[in-house]
Amino acid sequence: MSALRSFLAEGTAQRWLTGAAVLLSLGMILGLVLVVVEVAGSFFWPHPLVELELEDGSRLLGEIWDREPDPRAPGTQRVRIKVGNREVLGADFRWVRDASVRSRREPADAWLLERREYGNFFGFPERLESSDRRSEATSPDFAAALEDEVRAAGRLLDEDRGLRRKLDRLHAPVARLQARVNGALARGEQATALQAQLAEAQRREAEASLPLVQRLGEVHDLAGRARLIMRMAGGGEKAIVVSNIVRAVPPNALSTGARLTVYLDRWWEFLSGEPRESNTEGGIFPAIFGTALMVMLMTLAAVPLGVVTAVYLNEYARDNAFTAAVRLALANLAGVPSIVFGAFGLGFFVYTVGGGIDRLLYSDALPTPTFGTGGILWAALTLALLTLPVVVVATEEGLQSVPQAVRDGARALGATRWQTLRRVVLPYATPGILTGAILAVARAAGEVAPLMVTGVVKLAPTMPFDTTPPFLHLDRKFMHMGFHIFDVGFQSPNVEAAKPMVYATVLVLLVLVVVLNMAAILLRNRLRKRLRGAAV
Amino acid sequence: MSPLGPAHLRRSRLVDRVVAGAITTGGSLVLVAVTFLMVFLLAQCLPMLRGGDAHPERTVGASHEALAAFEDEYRERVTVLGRDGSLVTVDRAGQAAVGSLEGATPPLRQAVVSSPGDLLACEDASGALKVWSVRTAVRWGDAGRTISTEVTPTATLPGAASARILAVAGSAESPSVLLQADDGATLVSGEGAPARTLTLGAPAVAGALSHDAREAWLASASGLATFAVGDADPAAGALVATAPLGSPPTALALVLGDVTCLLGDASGMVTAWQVVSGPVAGSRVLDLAGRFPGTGPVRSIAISQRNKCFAVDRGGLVQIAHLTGRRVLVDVGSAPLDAVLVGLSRRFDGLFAVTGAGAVHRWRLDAPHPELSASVLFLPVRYEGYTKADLVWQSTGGSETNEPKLSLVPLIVGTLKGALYALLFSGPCALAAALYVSQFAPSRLRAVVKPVVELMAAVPSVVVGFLAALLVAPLVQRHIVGTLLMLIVLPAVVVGAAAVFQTLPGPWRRGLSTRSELLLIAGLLAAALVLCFTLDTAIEGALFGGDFKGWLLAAAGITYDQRNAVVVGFALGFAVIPIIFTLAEDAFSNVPPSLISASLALGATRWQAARTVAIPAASPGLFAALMNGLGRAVGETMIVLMATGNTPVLSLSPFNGMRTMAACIAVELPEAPHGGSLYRVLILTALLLFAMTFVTNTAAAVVASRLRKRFGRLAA
Amino acid sequence: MSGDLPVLETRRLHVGFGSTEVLKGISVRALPRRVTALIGPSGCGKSTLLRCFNRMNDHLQGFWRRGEVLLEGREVHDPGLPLEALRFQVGMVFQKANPFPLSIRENVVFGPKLAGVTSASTLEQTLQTSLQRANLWEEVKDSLGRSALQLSGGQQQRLCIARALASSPDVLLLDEPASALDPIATAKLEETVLELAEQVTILLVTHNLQQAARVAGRTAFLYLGQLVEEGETESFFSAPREKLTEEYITGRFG
Repeated sequence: MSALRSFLAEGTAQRWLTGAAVLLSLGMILGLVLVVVEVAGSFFWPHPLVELELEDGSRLLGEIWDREPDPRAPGTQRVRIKVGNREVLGADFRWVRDASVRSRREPADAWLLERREYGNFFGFPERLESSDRRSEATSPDFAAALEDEVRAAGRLLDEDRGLRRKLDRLHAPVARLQARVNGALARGEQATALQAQLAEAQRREAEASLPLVQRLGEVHDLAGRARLIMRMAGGGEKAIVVSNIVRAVPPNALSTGARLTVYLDRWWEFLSGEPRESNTEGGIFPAIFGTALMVMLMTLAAVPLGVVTAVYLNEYARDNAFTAAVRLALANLAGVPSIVFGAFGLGFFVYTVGGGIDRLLYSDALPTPTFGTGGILWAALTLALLTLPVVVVATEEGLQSVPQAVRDGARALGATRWQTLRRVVLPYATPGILTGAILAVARAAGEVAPLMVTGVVKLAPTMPFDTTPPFLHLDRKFMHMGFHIFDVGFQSPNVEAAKPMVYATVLVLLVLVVVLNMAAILLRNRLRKRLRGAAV
Repeated sequence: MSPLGPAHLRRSRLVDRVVAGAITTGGSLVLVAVTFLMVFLLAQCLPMLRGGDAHPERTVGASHEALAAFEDEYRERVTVLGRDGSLVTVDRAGQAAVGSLEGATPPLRQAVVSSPGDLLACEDASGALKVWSVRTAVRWGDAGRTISTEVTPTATLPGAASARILAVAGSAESPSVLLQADDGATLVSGEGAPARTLTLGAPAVAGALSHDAREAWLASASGLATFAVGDADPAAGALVATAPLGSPPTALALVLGDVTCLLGDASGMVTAWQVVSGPVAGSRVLDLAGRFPGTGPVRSIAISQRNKCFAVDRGGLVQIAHLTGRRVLVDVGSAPLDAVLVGLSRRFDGLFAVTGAGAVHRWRLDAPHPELSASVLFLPVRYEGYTKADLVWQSTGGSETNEPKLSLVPLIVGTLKGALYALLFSGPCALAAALYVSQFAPSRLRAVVKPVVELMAAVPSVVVGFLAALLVAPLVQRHIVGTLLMLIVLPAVVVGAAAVFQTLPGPWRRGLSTRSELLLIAGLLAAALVLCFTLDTAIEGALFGGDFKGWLLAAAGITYDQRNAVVVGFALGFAVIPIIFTLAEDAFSNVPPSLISASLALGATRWQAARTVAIPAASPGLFAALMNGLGRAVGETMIVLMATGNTPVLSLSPFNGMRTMAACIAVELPEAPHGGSLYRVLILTALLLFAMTFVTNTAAAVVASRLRKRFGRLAA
Repeated sequence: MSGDLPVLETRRLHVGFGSTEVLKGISVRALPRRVTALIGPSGCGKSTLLRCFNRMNDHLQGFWRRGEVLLEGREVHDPGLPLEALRFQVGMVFQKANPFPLSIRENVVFGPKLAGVTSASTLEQTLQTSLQRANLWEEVKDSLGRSALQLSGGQQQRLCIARALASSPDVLLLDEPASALDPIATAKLEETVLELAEQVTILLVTHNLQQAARVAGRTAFLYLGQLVEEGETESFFSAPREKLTEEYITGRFG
């Protein structure tokens, strides 16, 4: 008994247990980071293409993704192989039991084609056919010829995109008029005059767009000419239109340097490219852009208001019940679940304010809402409310680091309260304000729930900022990295194939948030050091 | 003299005053915003608790004896059918247009309108039984839309002359009419279909037909019965179930969806009946599912075509009530005493009554959320198709006639369950970590741990949720035994190792630096983890026959969901640990070091000093930390959205998922029509969430400020 | 001498914060172009008294006052005399140097800029003369753009004096300006104060009796919120009239 008592009194066990808790917490965050970096980091590396010959004589070509114990035959393993060729094979993945594999090799002449549609294609090239040449896969200049064609097709696609953008711009006035006509009809009003205008606008559009449409046809025709004939591992040939190919590589034949180039190129495509195949392939640029723009709008609203609130609390407020109420409100604002802000944002910003704006300024288009539906502005304002306490707390810390003596000095020279604030206190508190802004940005970049109800979408046809006047479209819906993770990870038809993409998005988001937070922590530490110095 | 220009000074003083005003206003804005947020949310959800109002409109009249009436879908005109075969259409201003019922020989003997108001069955002077279809026609012209009610003959049925018409239903092409018979009723249909006898043993006093005329309900003076009109017997309907009645029935009607039959009797009671499975397998019985008492015999019951509402006319008083909500929404006291027909508008936005003398009374009905009430949201409700009252969240019924079930209890329980499991994991872990960092570890470690924990707090919850659902959940599913084992083995290994360590000779023990101690613990943890997951299969095989999930279902009747409370507890715990840790660590650090030193000086070990001084002194702060953690766990959205499976089941089992309030708002609010019932319920959910976190945060803030004051004095 | 009109004067001044009364009916005077020292033990209210003349107490919570505070015969709370205008006239230097986190130049021209001086040449002129009068010019003339926070403690305090002088005040209030300085910096500061006394009226709070004796022409002794004795410094130290004064200056308490 006394041994137990002395054991408990000594407290080694308790100390170790608490230490274990620290290690467990650190281990969790470390584990999270490692998993994300491992999966996302290796995803873009060109993996070898493996050809398996099975017991029944059939052959498979693809990338090995997974290895796990076979649930049906304990003690043996099975692999998951990505076989691609979706339009031929149906599914992207196959499970293959180790026992059923007769032979396995990594053929150097196997090529991986990343395509705009139907995902990856794995196979052996036979020949390249275009209008003016024909190149056998065995010929030495095949790789160069294919690259030429892919590049040429890329240029055509660029032209295609440019033409479409021009056509969209030509269509804009027609679309606007159409919306007004639809609105008028839906409200049961006369629309004869508007319909006449619409017809005129349509005539003008048709006239102006005729040469563009012709050129578009030519481009299509040209882009469809070059074809790559591929032989599949399981037998059979398949012709692939070169303009459908994003990238063609023979992964097994690449040197390490070439692999690195492909790796970096894929990262670049991921960061700067448009999404394909309902977000499961391609890039996430619109999501990054949407996140950045939304966060910027949010900062414009949250930082000034947050700074003013902090200044009020720290410089102007007297120590009374009202100030206590403001502080309590602030503490609660910080603790309110983000989805509650979402609900408020939807009810107030979208339906009340947005609906009001629509009735006042966009009544032509009603009942189709303009601002009365979720959009980037409302999402930004909602998040501004959410991040306000972050800005206030950090700014207050910055203001508290300004020694009272400095304020007195300025007042004694005859400066008014505002002059003191503007010329001495605020410059001194800048790091605090900056810390607050950074933390607010980091918080907003990772927040998803309130956005889901105030205007984020999985795929936005247009960016909230583009070359169509008035350039910044605050009423538009937008894409967001956090929502992208949720959507692709949970609601895409092909979650397994898209998972590594999501990990890559997670990595980007994580890096962004961690870098921002580290910057804020560093800034704040500097501020705190000064605060301690001032207190001495 | 100073170079001061008075004008310049006046300007700076003016600017100062203006800025002071602006900043004070701006600063107060936060208070305004929070107050407004609450008030706004409240204002958005309050309308749903209001029952409804009926505003009387102008009474207009046609001066002939009325038999029946219909209203168009847009509630513009009421058409009154007179005994003389005339159709008088009156609009709200009282202007009347007169037409006549095509194909009928006046005077008409009797007329009955179907429950949705789309069919009219009449027996005319010739004794022929004829059916007309009633349709609202909308035409668009230069002057906008014009609305008219078209009454067109569709069928002449082989009815027994002068039998009473009880009900009419079916499509315009093949209508069916229920006729009174000596021992029950007869169902006659068009297109040469045979008449079917429904035998009750006594003449039916009242009857009702389902929309497709495949089910018939009959009430005689002493009993209620329901029949199925199948293809098995072309001459008769099959009796499904019967029930005796105490009071003579006066009216019968089927609530939208044809599941519930309402029966009004002479005592003024309206009872709701449903067919349920009987005690004998395969048998069906009639079950009394609800009562709506009132005074005065029931004259007629009108059915809403939008929801589960109905209007009961008791002569002078019309009550509009909701079936599952079990409440009366509106009492219309201004109703006429001798209405031959009372109808609810198609869009549930009006009520009309026609007297025998042809006067048309109309009311505008304002009851936007008839299905909602405090008891529906928080108490068990017996929905149609349920045999007992239950707490269910199912916001979309799947079809028009299946009503949404909006009980908040499963969501509240789900929220608390998620938060509870999260705190069970994160609370001990974070508090222990804070104790170690503040009391046992050198300050160097603190300088490392604090920023790392802050980064942990900064990890977006969508990331945590993603990993929890797609990485942790399958892992836990595969190694569920190992995971549960971990909860015991991990602490046991550490404590056991500490016990062994303490028996070592003194110099060995003292030679251990903090760093190597931590390394040692890390090694122990790693070993314990490996142990858990290697023994995993063996133990599952030995104890649970190799299949824990199967064993669980067989032994305890608990199903196993892949995304369950264990996974959520872990993932949500990950998000909550930094919050509890940071605040708890602050609380420990704020305990004046002099107190600890005093305790150590009296010969206490570090642990005894921590237990007797640091923990009691910091306990209010620890409480505040836990409260803040709870607030975060309750309100966290993305993690639970992704890792819970999102099924609103009412279960506390760790192996089942749940749906929390926050997740429910996130998923359903974007789809909820503005101003609709679901929208308001979700806003109420948000408000409740706000209130819950308001309580936890305020409690935490109050406790923390008391703590500050206490140590403020102590430090001074 | 005593025929001169006092620049600063209080009459039966009572000052307090909330329920505590700090000054209990003090009447004291400072004569033009002389240094008047306020001495007394800590907490006797000398700093509070000093801060009455530029109304710095007004910002403190619970402040109240009865009696008169006069600047050149005019009540400092006169509504016709704006607070800021009063402070342009009455400069102040604090116990601990409080340079702004700005450059040396911006520190010095802070006051003139507030007063609306915009001409660059005037500002440069003010900058130079103020720094010269504060005996700092030679040390900093080549690095006027440097942050003021990089100066040494003594330099910072003289910069604060220069900053106060730049507004051309008639009166300078010094609140234990040397208490945080080493002896050499203190000597330099005292020298500056003596030079300044030729042009401005100086009120100096100190609990360093030697400093009062070295610098001040007149000395007033406060004890527990009351004025014990006031007079020419020489006679004050050599022949105190009050027993309390004698005990204080001989170091028996305080």
